[in-house]
Amino acid sequence: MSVNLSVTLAGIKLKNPVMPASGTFGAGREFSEFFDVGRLGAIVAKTVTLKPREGNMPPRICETTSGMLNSIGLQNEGLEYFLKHDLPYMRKFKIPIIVNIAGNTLEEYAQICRDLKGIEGVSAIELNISCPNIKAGGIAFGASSRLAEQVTAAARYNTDLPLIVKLTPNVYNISKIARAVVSAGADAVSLINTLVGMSIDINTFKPQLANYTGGLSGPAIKPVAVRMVWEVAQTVNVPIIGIGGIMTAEDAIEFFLAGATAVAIGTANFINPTAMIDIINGIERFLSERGLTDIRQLVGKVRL
Amino acid sequence: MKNPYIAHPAIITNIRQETAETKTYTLEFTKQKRGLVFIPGQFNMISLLGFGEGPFSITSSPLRKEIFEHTIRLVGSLTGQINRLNVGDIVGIRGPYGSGWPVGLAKNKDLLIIAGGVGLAPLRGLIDMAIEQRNGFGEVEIMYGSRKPENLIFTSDYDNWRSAPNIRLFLTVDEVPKGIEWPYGQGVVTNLLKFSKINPANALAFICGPEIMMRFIVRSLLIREFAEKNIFVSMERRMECGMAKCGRCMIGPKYVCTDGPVFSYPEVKALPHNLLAASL
Ligand SMILES: Cc1cc2nc3c(=O)[nH]c(=O)nc-3n(C[C@H](O)[C@H](O)[C@H](O)COP(=O)(O)OP(=O)(O)OC[C@H]3O[C@@H](n4cnc5c(N)ncnc54)[C@H](O)[C@@H]3O)c2cc1C
Ligand SMILES: Cc1cc2nc3c(=O)[nH]c(=O)nc-3n(C[C@H](O)[C@H](O)[C@H](O)COP(=O)(O)O)c2cc1C
Ligand code: FES
Repeated sequence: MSVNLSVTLAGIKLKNPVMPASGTFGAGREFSEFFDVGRLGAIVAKTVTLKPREGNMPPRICETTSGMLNSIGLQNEGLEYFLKHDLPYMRKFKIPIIVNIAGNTLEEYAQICRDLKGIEGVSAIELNISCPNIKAGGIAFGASSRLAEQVTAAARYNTDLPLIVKLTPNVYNISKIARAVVSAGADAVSLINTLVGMSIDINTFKPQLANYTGGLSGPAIKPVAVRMVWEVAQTVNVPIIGIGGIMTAEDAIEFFLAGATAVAIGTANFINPTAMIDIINGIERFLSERGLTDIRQLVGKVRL
Repeated sequence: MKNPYIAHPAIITNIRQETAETKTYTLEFTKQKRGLVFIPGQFNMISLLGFGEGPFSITSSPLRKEIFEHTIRLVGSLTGQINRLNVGDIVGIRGPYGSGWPVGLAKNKDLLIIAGGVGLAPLRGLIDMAIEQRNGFGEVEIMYGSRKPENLIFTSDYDNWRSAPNIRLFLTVDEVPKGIEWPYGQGVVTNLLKFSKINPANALAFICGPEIMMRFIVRSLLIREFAEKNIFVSMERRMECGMAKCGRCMIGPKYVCTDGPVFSYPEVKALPHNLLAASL
């Protein structure tokens, strides 16, 4: 029996609901030796900013129990380079491309959106709103519903592309933030970004990361992510991309049951380069073993 | 028989500055114990002894029974006097009058609310009602425009609207003064319609603003395949009696004060003068 894995997300048709999480896949170059990237539902680029960014000082990565901390700091070559070098490469895979963007002011977000207008191969824009708003005294856009709403608006009024807003879990009430970004015109939300964490070396008494704190990802954050996806699914009616600690198809299934329409895979890519393909195959197997014919039969089907 | 022209005294219990010329007044009847029972979109005649009387939409939620609100823009002599009032002052209230928005028809439907300037006033009670009875209505989309950011009214309500599920609020202004951070739209309200996601087949559109704006909006809605009967507009005419007696407010055979101010588009279309004529 054939199984339908295709989903529609913010108006983009995906042949399956599995994609990389931003920042963990580059432009896909390193992965194309391991598998046919064209098999993915979509490709999500690493966060791009208007101007090149150097990122934080090393060490920027450390392992933790069931997870990892990173403080890469959105290192990237800037939009111009991205459009010239990375995007043309990604287009070759002939799958939808989601461009993840960030800025330190509303105007930077707006500007990137305008610069992406009419660029071939860009299927959607994902807003990374975890970065600090300079004008608001450095608090993250995603940490306040008002700022989150404004940054969504700054993008919304400057692009006709589908708009996905990636929510940060470092907030008290993520549903409120989700509603705020949807109220401003987000077509979909993705969650979660990394949880702020810290790790200390007890031999040197020093933090493991040069930046002291970093973003926690991997299996350690999965239950938090599932809970947040489930909560947000109750409060907004736009599709959700579930992210956080997904290592296997079974992990992904949890997210679908909680209400995600698609999933993105981050840390797992560093551990097993073919993780996403294994997950696609595993989801298909899970469905057919249960006589289910369509991935949508799982979405939001947690029994309460 | 009670004299219908008698105004009931109401005391101002709160005043909120909306814009340089516009304030929202919270009112309570001084004698009647019951509050005001009304449908959003209806209006009261507000009088100030010695200065006259005028129609003003009720801008609070109909679910708030003990108090009601009016949002009034300073444009002339009566509104100039009202603008000078303080908390504790008394005004005369007759009403509610007029047709109001068809809330019965709107049940379980998606609502597309489009307003320009103070035109948001008669729609605020409807928005609040749809938020308070979130399960009684479908999605709510609000498209609102004004001249400049400083002319937007009800800005202190937006956070509350946005934190309700399935509400989308789009804003636009004609002009953004230098130095103002404005992440929203620039241009006419009609531009905002492209953000609408609701299915016109299961939605009602409620419009209030300058007639020229309403004309363009109606036209765009018809292109988007809104059925004429699902489009409602609130019309404004000068009024005196508010009860189909004096004829001051008439458009052809219709009284704006009793047949309106809210009309369905087919009703407006049937009026003379080609009001809101939306030739496609
Ligand atoms: C059903 C209805 C609901 C209304 N709701 C509100 C409301 O919620 N908030 C609000 O601020 N106003 C509302 N108005 C308009 C309000 O009634 C008038 O602005 C007010 O009566 C003006 O009184 P005034 O004595 O201050 O102005 P005047 O001194 O009489 O006039 C000042 C200037 O405004 C113009 N003007 C006055 N009234 C009108 C009018 N009705 N149409 C066009 N031009 C006019 C005059 O031509 C003149 O140029 C509503 C009107 C109607 C018919
Ligand atoms: C090394 C690393 C770099 C990341 N870079 C980005 C980034 O550039 N933009 C972004 O939105 N998220 C970034 N993330 C967050 C991931 O996209 C993802 O939201 C998070 O890691 C949780 O998923 P996971 O547990 O599957 O890794 C990064 C994560 C890691 C581990
Ligand atoms: S206001 Fe007198 S008839 Fe309408």
